[in-house]
Amino acid sequence: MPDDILIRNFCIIAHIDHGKSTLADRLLERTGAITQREMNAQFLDDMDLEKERGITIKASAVTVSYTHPGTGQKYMLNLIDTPGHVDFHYEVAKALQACEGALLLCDATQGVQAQTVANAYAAIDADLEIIPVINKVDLPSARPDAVAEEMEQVLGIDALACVPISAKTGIGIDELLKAIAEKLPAPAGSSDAPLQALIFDSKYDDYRGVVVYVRVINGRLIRGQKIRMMGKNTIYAITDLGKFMPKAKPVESIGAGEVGFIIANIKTIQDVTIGDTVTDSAAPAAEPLPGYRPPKQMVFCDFYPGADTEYTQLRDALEKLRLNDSSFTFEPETSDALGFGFRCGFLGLLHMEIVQERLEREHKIEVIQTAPTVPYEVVTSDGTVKMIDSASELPDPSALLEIREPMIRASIIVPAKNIGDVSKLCQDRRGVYKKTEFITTDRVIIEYEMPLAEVIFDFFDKLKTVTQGYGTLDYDLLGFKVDDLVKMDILVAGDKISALSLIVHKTKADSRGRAIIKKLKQEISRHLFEISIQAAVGSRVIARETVSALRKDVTSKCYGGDISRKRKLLEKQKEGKKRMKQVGRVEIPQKAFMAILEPGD
Amino acid sequence: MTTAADENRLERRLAQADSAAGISFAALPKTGPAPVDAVYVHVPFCSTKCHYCDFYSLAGHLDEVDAYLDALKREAALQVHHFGRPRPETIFIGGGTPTLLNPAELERLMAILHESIDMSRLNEFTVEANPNTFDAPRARVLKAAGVNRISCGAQSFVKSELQTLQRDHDPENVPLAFEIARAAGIENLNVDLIFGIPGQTLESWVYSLDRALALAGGGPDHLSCYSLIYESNTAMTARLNRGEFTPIDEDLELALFEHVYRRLRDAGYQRYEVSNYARPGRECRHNLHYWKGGQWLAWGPSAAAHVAGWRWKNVTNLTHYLAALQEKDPQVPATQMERLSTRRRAGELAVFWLRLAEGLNYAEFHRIAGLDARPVLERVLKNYAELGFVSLTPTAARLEEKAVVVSNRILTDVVDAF
Ligand SMILES: Nc1nc2c(ncn2[C@@H]2O[C@H](COP(=O)(O)OP(=O)(O)OP(=O)(O)O)[C@@H](O)[C@H]2O)c(=O)[nH]1
Ligand code: SF4
Ligand SMILES: [Mg+2]
Repeated sequence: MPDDILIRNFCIIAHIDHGKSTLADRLLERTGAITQREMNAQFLDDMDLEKERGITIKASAVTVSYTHPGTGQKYMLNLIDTPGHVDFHYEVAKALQACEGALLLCDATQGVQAQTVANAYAAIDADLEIIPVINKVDLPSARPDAVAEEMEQVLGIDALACVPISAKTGIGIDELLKAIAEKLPAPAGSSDAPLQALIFDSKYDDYRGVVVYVRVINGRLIRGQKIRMMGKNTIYAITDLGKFMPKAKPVESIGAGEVGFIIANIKTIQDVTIGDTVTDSAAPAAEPLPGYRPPKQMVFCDFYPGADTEYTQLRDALEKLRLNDSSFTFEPETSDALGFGFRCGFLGLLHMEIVQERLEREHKIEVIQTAPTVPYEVVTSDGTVKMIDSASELPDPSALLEIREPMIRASIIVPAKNIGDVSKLCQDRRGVYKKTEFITTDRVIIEYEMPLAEVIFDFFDKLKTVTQGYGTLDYDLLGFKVDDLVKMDILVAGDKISALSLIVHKTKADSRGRAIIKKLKQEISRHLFEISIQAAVGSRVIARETVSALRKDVTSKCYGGDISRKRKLLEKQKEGKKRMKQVGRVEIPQKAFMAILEPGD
Repeated sequence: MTTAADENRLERRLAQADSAAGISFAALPKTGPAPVDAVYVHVPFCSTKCHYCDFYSLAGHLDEVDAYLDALKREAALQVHHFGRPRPETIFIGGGTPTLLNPAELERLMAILHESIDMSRLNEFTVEANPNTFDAPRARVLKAAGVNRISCGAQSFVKSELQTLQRDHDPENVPLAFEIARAAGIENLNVDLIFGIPGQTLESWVYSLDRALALAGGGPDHLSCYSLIYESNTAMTARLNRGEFTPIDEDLELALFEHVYRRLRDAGYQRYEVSNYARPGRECRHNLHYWKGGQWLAWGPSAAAHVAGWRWKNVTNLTHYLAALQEKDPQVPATQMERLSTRRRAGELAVFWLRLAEGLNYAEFHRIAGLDARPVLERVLKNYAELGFVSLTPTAARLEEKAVVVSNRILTDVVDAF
């Protein structure tokens, strides 16, 4: 790249829905990377799932050119749009590591929210230069000055430094671009040093193999070059290099400080790991880059192959998907009821849902999913401590000393008038109060220590309800703590279904048990015989329901000679049955394996 | 409520849409001369449309009967040319309401059949009759043509129930129709009844059944008792969705179903199929061909045929039917042509066969389907046998009496088991 072009690497971070992807649209447009005609809203949210849900799930990096109107200086801007949802914080963490600067966005009507705080601290920790941006100033209810004050009060950011913009109408975008050019530092590396390129993402392409997304820290990538993956110690020759601008554009080389992708006919998926360093195989760097701290999976569930899916197909699909999302894990698992499958770990419930949907859409794989759980630490009588991520892994009660559950620090931002409701909610969820801080006279940050299991499933919905939608939540993990936890088993027609076992707090066993059993009763269709469903702790049955026997299912109709019609009807009925799993004589629908999500309150 | 005029307009619109789309028909399978067991003829005219009905029929349109008969004649000729002159054991003329045709038209229909069909092997010749369109002149025409079985759609003997179904006859037409048939010397008579009609009670059902059993000639020889089914695209379903009535509850429907069985058994009728009851020897042979893998030709719009492993269905639209069978260059209006794989066909056959009280005889099944059902059925029916719903012997599989009301549940496991 010619020396007179300066590079700026930055990411856009914010609370969910504060307008990151919309700002990216304006930056693409204003720098001429795409024309207004090519533009559709949230251009970088290119996954169907992102469009449908209106949220960003994956960070995307693009390169655009910018000329400073005052100085005439040319810049190459590498920007990364990040997701706001707490489940995808790992994407933000990765993006921060590939940048020198961050645009910290805050909605001018909503003010500082839980992930504004969390992301701001993450950027500060990563030593990034922050440009505070107040977005949505076009809205009548916008109060940019007050929100700038909040930023200063809560985050220690200079209120006067805030750039007011509207990502929707384009107000302030020119000023913001100037600030990016003037305030953000240039990358530090040197194109002459030995090659070190950080792999921050990848995806599988059926024709071209693995596409590897990198940020070059030092040295230069050149087409034809022989490269080495330092972690895996494998060598490949670069067949193509490119950049997203935002359309993929082939380039001959990528120098220090730049972002792009490598194609090297990589067919072995396992050879590429996110966070690994690419170097030149002839003149390698002495050290790999620090890489990424692996994320901690906090929600676990099983995926089993569903109707018309084979175990090996599921495995291949999981491997390919993991290339594009390194934050979930999977390990082989078997169950009496469901056969061969995988125990999978996710960063949160939404993350789990997204992975499942991506398997379905991108890989046409249907899975049966068991209900999610948090991990636990168990201490056995011989003193060993073991992590388990499923109730079925619990040792025999006689050998079990204690069960410890993951604890979090929850930071909840709510209107002051809701303090009472939120406190009650947290206490119901076994929370321990820590402190309250006022952001303004009418908004507070409340901190509680709570068991993760009480927060992860439906706490957020409840919080939204009691705060009329104004409450936001962020949390981080504190560690594991012992409590009165017991294992609850579910028996269907007398058979214990291990995939339905769960760990619950003793005081909540009865209500959870009843709720689960009731749900199962709705899900399990009537059979030719009566089916009992029970919840039990040890040998004590705490809830029981019965699915009465099917009494009538007969077609008494004249079809004449149109035999096919009746056959097709039965075949259709049979299709429905394929989504069932046979446990003993009972057919349990796939959905029922999620029944233990019923909160029971 | 949809009127006949609405229906006709809709019909015409659909026909126009289809012909604009250049609808094309499937060629008949190249089987060469094919022996058949049965011939079905569909007459697509009714006086009004009953609200539960999803058979293909038009209300009115009687001015098109001649054109229909012309087309039917050509269709029969094409098929005779293609498969050879059929020599069936049974003929069934259904609809629609065949007896809506006037005696002269009926006579012409009979002539067409006699022209195209070798009657030398025929032992059952059924015509469906609606109680209010059946009279002595028509009966004479039918009798003279060799018809020996009349199937009479009584449905109910309770006026209000007939009204709910929007049947256009009066209960008292039925005994009359029976007397006419018997007087004309037609021996073998069936009535169709429907249970599960909104507003029906056990008492009213007992009454209807008793009235049916008291019909001329010591009662009918055969009864078909169907439960009311809310098919999509019927007026009945639309009314249900509008909340005009509530369907009867499951317990009552079960009680009605059980009553038929007991009452008819006590009166000397055997349930030989889920919905069909007969005096010994009076089972409907035509239907048995359908259920036991027989082969049949089918003429008229919407009629479904099965020949040499091929199934097809004629276009469900009179206008298209007529268009296909024009004088110049007529073609068979076949659609939905399918040839089932041996396994798929075996599943289908087993399902229908198991609905028969006699059960599925493995040897006979093997002869027709070309494969051994025993290992398959023993595998999928084992659980049910243990629960007493199915009897499995070395030679046959049979649903037990108590399994009939839940037979779909069991048969869904059979349909794709092969
Ligand atoms: N009025 C107004 N609406 C805006 C502005 N910026 C974004 N929005 C709207 O805010 C909503 C969220 O915008 P996004 O750009 O998807 O937000 P995001 O921060 O990328 O969201 P996540 O990726 O899910 O965290 C959309 O409906 C946008 O149209 C703005 O400046 N003014
Ligand atoms: S008479 Fe028969 S074919 Fe005609 S509308 Fe009524 S039920 Fe349907
Ligand atoms: Mg976004």
